[in-house]
Amino acid sequence: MPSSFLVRRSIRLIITFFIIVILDFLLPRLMPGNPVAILVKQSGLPDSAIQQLTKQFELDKPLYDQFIAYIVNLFKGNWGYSYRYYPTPVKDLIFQRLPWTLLLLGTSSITVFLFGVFQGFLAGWRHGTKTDSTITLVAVLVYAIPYYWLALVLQYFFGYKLKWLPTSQALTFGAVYHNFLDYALDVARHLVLPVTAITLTAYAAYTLVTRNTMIDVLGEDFIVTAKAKGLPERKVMWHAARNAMLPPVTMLAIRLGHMVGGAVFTETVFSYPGVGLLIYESIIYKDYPVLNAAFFILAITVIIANFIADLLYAWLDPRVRYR
Amino acid sequence: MIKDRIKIIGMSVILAVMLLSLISPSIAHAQQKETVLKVGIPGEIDNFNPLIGLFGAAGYIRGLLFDTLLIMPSNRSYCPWLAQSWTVNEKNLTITFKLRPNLKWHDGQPLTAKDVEFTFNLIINSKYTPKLDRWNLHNYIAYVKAIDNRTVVFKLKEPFAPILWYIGLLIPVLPEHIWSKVDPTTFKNTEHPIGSGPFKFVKYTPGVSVELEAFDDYFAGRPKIDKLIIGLYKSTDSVLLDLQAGAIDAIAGMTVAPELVPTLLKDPHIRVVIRPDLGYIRFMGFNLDKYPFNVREFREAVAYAIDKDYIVKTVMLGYADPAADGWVQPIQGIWYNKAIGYRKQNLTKAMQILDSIGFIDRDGDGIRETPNGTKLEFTLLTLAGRTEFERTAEIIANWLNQIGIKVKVEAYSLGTVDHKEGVGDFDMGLMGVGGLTAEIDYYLYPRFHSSGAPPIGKYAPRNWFRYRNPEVDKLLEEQRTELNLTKRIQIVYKIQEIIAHDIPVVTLYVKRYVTAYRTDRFVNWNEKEGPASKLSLLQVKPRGPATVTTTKTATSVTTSVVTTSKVYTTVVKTTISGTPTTVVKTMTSATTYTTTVPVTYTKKTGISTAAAIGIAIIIAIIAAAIAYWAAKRG
Repeated sequence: MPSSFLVRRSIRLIITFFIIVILDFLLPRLMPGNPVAILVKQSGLPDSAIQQLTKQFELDKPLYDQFIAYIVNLFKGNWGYSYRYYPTPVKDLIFQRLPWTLLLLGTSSITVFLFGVFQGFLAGWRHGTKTDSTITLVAVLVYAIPYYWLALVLQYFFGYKLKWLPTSQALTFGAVYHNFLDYALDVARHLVLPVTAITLTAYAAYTLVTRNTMIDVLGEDFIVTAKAKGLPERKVMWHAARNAMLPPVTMLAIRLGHMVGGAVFTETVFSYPGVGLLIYESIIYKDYPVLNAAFFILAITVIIANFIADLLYAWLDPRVRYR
Repeated sequence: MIKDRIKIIGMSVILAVMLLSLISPSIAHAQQKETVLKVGIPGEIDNFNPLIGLFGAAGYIRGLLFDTLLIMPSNRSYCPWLAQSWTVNEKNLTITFKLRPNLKWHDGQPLTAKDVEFTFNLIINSKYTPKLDRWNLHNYIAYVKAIDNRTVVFKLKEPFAPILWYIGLLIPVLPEHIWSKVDPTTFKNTEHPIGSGPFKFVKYTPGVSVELEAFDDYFAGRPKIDKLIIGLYKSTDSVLLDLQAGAIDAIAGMTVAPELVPTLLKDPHIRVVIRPDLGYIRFMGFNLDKYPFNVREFREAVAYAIDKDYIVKTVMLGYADPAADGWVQPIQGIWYNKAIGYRKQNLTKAMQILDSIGFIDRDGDGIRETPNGTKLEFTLLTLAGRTEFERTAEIIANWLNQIGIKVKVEAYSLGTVDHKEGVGDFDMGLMGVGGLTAEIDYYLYPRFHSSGAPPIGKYAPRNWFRYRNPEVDKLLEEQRTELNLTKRIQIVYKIQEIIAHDIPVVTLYVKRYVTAYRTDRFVNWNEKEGPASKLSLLQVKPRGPATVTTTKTATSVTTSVVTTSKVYTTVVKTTISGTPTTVVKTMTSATTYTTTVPVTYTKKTGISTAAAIGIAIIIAIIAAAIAYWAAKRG
């Protein structure tokens, strides 16, 4: 991998980073409404508490002072205190919830990718057969179902009617765990429905893209060559699959942002204590420090994911050079 | 091929085992020897510091961990709690509380008058006062002093009628031996909070739950349940689903939406309760600094166009009451002026009033004009995404259109609505507030005193309709200093009359507080005080198969109120021993009552193991069949 490629990628990365930092600071503050006034009124405190809390949260300072403080804190790795959860440091709040979101998103990314891409391969390989049309039809149908509706149906059917799986939360509260397996099983039980909801609503995009690429790839000369030189079916399929894998990999990186959006819905419906839910609540209450930190982490994650996708791309397709 | 098939079968077996382990009754639910009651609450925990806490969900738990000097049951009278009696001396401006004997903190230390003195001094007279005294109590309280271990005196600077609410109900007593070592403005207290309430802290899992256990040395007797777990939910829907699924026994901190009540009622194990003393008021405020909203007759015409009963019936499906015009509502008991009532819809009268002040449709387009020719076209601001508000707004807009006032409904998010109303960038605003349980001064003063109404452009927190009436200002100030209850009530009555006449806001309806609980695992809930309330959780006990009837002489519980003409003194004595009894009740004679023997309860979730194995096998066979078919074709 030539170093000039890395250097140029890194410079782009830094520029993107700074644009993100500025937007991250401004966007929450551009929303109308005063966070302190809302907090005071919602919690039934007297009017005079507004000034008191404005001072406490340093919102009485001019915007540029707040911006400087924000930048300084960012580099110190200190995001200040949450307004709503005062005096909880934003860092604690996010790191309490991040593992849950990572678990949810990680698991569903894997299931979405495997499920979606596999079906896409199958449909593309059997292009024109009944398998193809069934897979495509089902994918398009499921794709059209709204996220939260599917989540609610799953919750109602498996949680409430059949009582097989818990309807909400990430752990059974009040449960006593005897060993790690116990704990892992409990976490897994709570993960099934949210992951299923995300998988079902997100896999179709991968299936459709993979299927189309697969059909394209199957028409390429090297496939004809491979078949002509008498390679077994399976090996030909792998040849095609490896090439058809490129668009879904890129998609995985790009759709990470979408997945977080999905996580907000899913976490809300299933009361899953993750970052998505935290963002949702913080937007309502205009908890600037939390929003800044959460958006920052998300943006960084997406940037890094894209960076990794670039590298993966080159690895999967030898024709892509690191220039 | 055979190798493949073995692989496929192997995979299927693994898959089956995984599925089986997921749906079989989890080991996590293995035998629970203690009785555990679970309450679901929507919301989060900010901290367990009652002096700086903001959140409702955390507030509920803080209320169970900590105790106040007094308590206010649903009959809305001050009743003894940590203090067994208190005396108000009107002349000296002192309030003396006598604590119960042998009070203890959760860590075994004695709770004394010194702790009370410490707690209130922290707020009114310490270096933390600027940050902690959110209620400006230092303006009213001169000093707090512990006379002996069980007696504490509050000396007031000036007569302040609502004081009992602040010192008796709002601020809990904190343990000096812990809080003197911390900075109370940043103390989160989530590690191991020590209080004196009926439940002790066990564990807090952020975002998931808070576990509490019964406090053995509680003055009103140990609660009958061993453990209380409060599950933190992110939506009211998931709370109700879990209540129906039996994962929780009661709900707190939320009201059930009217359209969901029928579903709950279908379940024979769920009881739905309407709290008689709680509710939320919905109202429409006018921008009184804007023409023509500053014309009283115009506001009256608008008020006559609204049918409160219709909104209650259609939008609220009957789970609300038409609101009284004077802002104070019947559920607020003694403070409500029964002569007020509410305006019935009268469109003819509304149109007559508009005609009489010269608001007439001159160009025949169906919209009236003001005498100087401006069309009566306004916006009605309300909250987006809240069906209740949006529907009510649409209905009102329709009525106003009928009398020749064109109204467009604009719905925004909470932050936007709050900002627009605060700075006066609106015509009419449809909003809702809670706080009907608060002290009447707290409910009225910030909303109707002109000190809360800065000019347009400056943010007005509660009096955003900008009502300024010198007479009301004077009455509001008067009731604050009037220590004689009867006289104070008369002033509050008068305020209601003026508000009902002036119509700065059109009160619409009072949404009822609907709660629910399960009856299959626990009995003896207190519905009147709310199933998940402190008083209810003190008496609720597990349902057992065997019921034993015992006869026991109940210890006497007496409540007496002595009022002398000169010095206004209230003495309330309550002895609670044996069974925890709500202080509202008065029992003097020997009573026969039933006790149920607590029986160990084991929770089973999921389906039976046999069924699970069956399902797993079926799934495995199907999986194997699909795999076989795929392998054969491939």
